Amino acid sequence: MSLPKIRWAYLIMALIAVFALGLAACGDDDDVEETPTPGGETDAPTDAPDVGDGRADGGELTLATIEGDGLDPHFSSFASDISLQRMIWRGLYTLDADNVPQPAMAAAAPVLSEDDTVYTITIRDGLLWSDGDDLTAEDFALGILRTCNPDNAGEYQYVLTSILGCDDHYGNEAGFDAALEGVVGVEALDDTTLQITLAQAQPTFSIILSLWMTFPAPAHLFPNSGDPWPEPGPDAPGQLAYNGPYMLTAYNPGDSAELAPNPNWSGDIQPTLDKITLRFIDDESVSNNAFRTGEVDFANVDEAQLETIQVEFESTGYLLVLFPGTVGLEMQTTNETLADLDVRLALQRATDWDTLNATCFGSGRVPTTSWVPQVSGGAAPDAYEDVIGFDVAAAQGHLSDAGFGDGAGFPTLSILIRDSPAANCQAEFHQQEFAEHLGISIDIEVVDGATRSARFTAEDFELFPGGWIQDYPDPENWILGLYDTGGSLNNYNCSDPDIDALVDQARFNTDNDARLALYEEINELIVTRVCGIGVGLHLANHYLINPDTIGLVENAAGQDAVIAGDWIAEAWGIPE
Amino acid sequence: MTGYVIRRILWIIPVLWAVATVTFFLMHAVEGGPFDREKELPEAVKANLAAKYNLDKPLVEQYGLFLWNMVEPITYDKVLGVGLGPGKLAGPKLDLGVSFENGRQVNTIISEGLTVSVQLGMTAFLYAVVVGMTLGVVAALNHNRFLDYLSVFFSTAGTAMPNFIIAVFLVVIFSVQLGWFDVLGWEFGNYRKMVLPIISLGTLPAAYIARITRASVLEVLGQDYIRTARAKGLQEWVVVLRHTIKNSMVPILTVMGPIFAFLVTGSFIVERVFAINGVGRHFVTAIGSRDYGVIMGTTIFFATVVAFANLIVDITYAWSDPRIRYK
Repeated sequence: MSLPKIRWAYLIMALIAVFALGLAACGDDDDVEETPTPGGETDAPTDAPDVGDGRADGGELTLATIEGDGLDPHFSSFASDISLQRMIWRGLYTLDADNVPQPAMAAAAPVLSEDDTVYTITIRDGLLWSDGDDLTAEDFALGILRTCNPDNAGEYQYVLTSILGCDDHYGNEAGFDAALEGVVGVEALDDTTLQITLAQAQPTFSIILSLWMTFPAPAHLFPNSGDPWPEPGPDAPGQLAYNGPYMLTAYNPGDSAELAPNPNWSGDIQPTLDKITLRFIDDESVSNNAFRTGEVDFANVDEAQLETIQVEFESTGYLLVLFPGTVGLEMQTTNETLADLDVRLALQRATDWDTLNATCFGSGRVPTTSWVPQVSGGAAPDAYEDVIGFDVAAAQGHLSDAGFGDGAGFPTLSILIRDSPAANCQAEFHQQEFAEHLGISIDIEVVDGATRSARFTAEDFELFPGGWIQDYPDPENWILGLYDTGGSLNNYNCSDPDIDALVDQARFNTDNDARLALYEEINELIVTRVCGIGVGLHLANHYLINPDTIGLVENAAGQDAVIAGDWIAEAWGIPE
Repeated sequence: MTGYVIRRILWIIPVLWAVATVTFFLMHAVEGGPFDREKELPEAVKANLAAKYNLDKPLVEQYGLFLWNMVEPITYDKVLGVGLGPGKLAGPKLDLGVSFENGRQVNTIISEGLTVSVQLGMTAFLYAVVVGMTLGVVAALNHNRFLDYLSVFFSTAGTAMPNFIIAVFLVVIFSVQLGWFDVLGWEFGNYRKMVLPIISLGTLPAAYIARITRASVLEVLGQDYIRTARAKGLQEWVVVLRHTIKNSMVPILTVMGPIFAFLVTGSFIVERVFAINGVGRHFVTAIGSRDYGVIMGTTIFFATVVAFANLIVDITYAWSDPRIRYK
């Protein structure tokens, strides 16, 4: 069949479709979003980028992504912001493919004081900003001070909570205070020596020093920690200086950003691309169509069309990678009924997460019984299958032990969801499973995203599909504040003396092996005692990648923000 | 007429004040705020963000600040790009505040998106008027014949199909399968990026205008003065153009005002499907994210456009029907 005939066929189909719709003329416009269909097999995660091998000198890439909220690394919390910021700035350290901190702008690993509270870091000689100005220890100190400055309201300040005086300054109700800033434990001893003082030893602090909220700020452009950072607009690229592999050359809000290689980049891997265009597209189905037509080289897969995409691109272009996030069914433990462990276990064991995954997420996620993913120091997905895995008889036994045999007398609980097809699917799935296996009924309460978040924060919920996405690859990020009694993010009010005691032992433990073992114990207690969450699925990213590119791959540790390999953009290229 | 126009413009001020006031208090009454995220922020962060955007102040004080930023008198050195010299014109500041998402000025956000939305909206409006009126007139002149049925079919189908259905169909067939047009973006003068968004956005109003035009022209064709014009031996095109269409315009103009306002203020659906950076998407996304600054800005902007579009329609009535005079 020749191409023109195919085109005529499409034209005829189009006309038929328009006529058919016109005849139907029923005006059905209530729902365009499809229920995801079960997916098939997926590719295994790949190894770290094949650094630089076979890359042509030059070329351009256009990558579909969602626009971030801003350009200020000391304020940002949005994954798209962080993705872009890691392309144009770099911290003292960077995580390698095994999530181990390696020197980036630092010359070597930090030298620690005897009590592990003072970090002395030597910065590499001869570092320059993209505009040619010297990049010094003062710039790194300024970056940290910016994050601790209450007037900047940086959303990830809490990650720097162990830095001496940072919390006190940030929590100052009157805003910026020069005296309080003066005692924040960060100081440039000279141009190449930075000293950071912690209030208490934090074994993960080197990892923290690889994160965006510690990126340097160009002190020659913004001398004070409260100086406003340029907004994401057309003028921003020229108002900033960069120390990452690429620098921002154009920014069109709502449309795109353009990057070019930073001539003063000092990393081992040199960027080869002439230009990277980040095309801001809100809707993944749109970016998927743009990938089909070759308008973009990379796109995130529309989860609602996952099965179709997997079939369409199974041999080329499709890549699945694990993403360090876990979701499940959160339960308000202050609720009289849900306070009973047997009730929580009954709900957990009555849920077939495998089928839920297939029904609502196109099998695009990974069923699990571990809260902390294995790549982040947790257990294997099936580690606690025998305790909390899907088992109807066990679920019914737990419900009976709680005094609600066959569901008799069980109050009607409510599940609070955001109005989206996937959330509706999950809620209806739980509703059906609980009715079928336990004889209990739950109501579904649908609200918009902001209301749902507000209700969660106010602890005004009974059941709540939710979870956690990791900020940095260590189990403490999955536990501290989330499961300790009174933790700032513990909205389900998990309160378990055993967990609290283990957290106390682990938090400042400088014996790394012992620390990790303690966190694994906590992980086990969280899931087996359903302490606020019935664990269900690990998240995954699904990418469409032009096969004629290099470096847009991911390591097994899941460091991507939103684009495959965006944590090491300098390795991107096109084949020779 | 001049007095009427001035009075109408002055009336727009209290209308906008009422719109702004109702929107402001409704917006704050809705549960959830701009810093309620999927991933919760610690209390200290929320407190600092609230202070940064004045949300820690009493609601009435926030309202007062908003109004003051709008009406605060300042002098302008230039208007619409035309230099006036330093401090030559005094007027309200019209500062709509900042976006709580990215800290950008709402005025800037709207003006950036507006250029694209106006280009898209104007061309879609032109398409809607030309196609809609042509179909309507042709249908009326061929009443109960094939062309009439064809026109009625188009207007029924166009009205029944939501624009996201049309847009997705067009993209899948003409971009993905046939490769005739691009999926992404809008570029004035580049047909690959213009045709599909225009058709997607303009088809519903075109269908609506076709229906109104057909009904209106049919009514005028039955008037005595049309029979008289034909009896006088006027050529048919003169009868149609000078006596029929012009006298059919009042109901068509009535719907054109809201259609114009609707089209030039952007379409969330069409802008989303074609990843067009217009102002339309801000109407919807700002509500979902409780971006108070953008909600207020886009609402006031939309109300302003609707008010002025209706004023223009009222003025054009007088041109269309000499019996209408404003005092």
